Amino acid sequence: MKALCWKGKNKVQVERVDEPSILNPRDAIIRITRTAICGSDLHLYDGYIPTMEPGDVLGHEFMGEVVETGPELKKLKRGDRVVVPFTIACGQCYYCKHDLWSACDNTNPNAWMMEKLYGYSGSGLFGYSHLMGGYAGGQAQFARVPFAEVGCIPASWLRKIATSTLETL
Amino acid sequence: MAAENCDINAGDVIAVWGCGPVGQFTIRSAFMLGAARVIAIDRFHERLRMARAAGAEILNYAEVDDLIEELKWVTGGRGPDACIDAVGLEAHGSGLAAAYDDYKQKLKLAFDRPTVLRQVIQACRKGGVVSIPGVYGGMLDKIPFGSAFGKGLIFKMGQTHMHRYTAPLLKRIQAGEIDPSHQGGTGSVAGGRSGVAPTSSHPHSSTCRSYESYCDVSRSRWLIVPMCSTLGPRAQFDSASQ
Ligand SMILES: [Zn+2]
Ligand SMILES: [Zn+2]
Repeated sequence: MKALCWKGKNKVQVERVDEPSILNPRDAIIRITRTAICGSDLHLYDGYIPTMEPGDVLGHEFMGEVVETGPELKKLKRGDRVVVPFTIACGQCYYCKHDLWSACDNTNPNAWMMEKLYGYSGSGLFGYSHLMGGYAGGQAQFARVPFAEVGCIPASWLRKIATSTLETL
Repeated sequence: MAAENCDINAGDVIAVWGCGPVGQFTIRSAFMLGAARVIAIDRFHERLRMARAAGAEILNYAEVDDLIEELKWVTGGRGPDACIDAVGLEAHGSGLAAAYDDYKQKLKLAFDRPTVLRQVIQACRKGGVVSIPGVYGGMLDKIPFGSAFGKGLIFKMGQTHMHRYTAPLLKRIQAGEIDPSHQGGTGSVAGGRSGVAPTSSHPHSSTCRSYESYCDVSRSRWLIVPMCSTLGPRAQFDSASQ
């Protein structure tokens, strides 16, 4: 697939990379239909965020269509259109249960790095350095979304507003 | 969340630094949560115009001598009840402290340029709230913490708890209380550029150009940089969702 890769300070490039696949039973693969460049992507672009590696796929604001679901997903179906939050949350830890989703304890596989810097690690983020989990982002044709049913807003919500609002988002 | 964090009471005056998409939403949210006045601070006219269209009073920081004094003046000497930093670590400051930050950041001695953070702390009224949706990553230098302590400020900040807000916000959009299409993307805003996707005849380079133009050409004027068609076929929202 094609994806926008970070290549170093002030350098990004669209490259061919491997398509994502289901790694965990609650993953979904999303075909991305809309994505955005955020002001905070510029911090990456300008080289201010440490632990970026050449080839990392950028993008944390995206939406799309579910094309593949892990075996433990019950509600999300192929063909569902979803908006994906940039913070990844498990839905089951202390923080998720206390409505503090961006502090999720279970979604940053590189939590040890954050713990050294911050004391504790926040949740993993899409396309936002290895410090934040090293997840491939959504400025690509496809993305793997972990704990997809925790974050994704299901299709039924989108129907009424799809054309008017989401087109402009 | 940025506005919610201010615990707004009826009659409150809220000052918002930065009128990009986050700032624009924050201004509208503050009014929705009961703010009597919102003061929007930026230096780009297009953005300030949008802020004014949302009902905010505007302040171009590049045109005033002393922003803190100006805010004091327009709030009857008391200062805003809450100050929101919707800018974060790459603030374009001016003056000695900003030059110092820039130098340190270039030498990799510091990741962040906390110009706005210093201002929100100084400007906020005693016992007020400093709300920080703008991103910070590392160690900060020359932060007037004595001022924060002396005035008994309340600090609220952090990565947005997305999962808490997506559903309620979509509900408000559906109810017509929020219109995100006003935040940019199409026609009238974004420095007069229309919200069309970049040409698909150069799909490989146009996304990269989006970064360049966002960053260099008119960095702070763009509100939403369109880039959707560069990576794949466009979504068929109409046909598939009905
Ligand atoms: Zn963002
Ligand atoms: Zn969790």
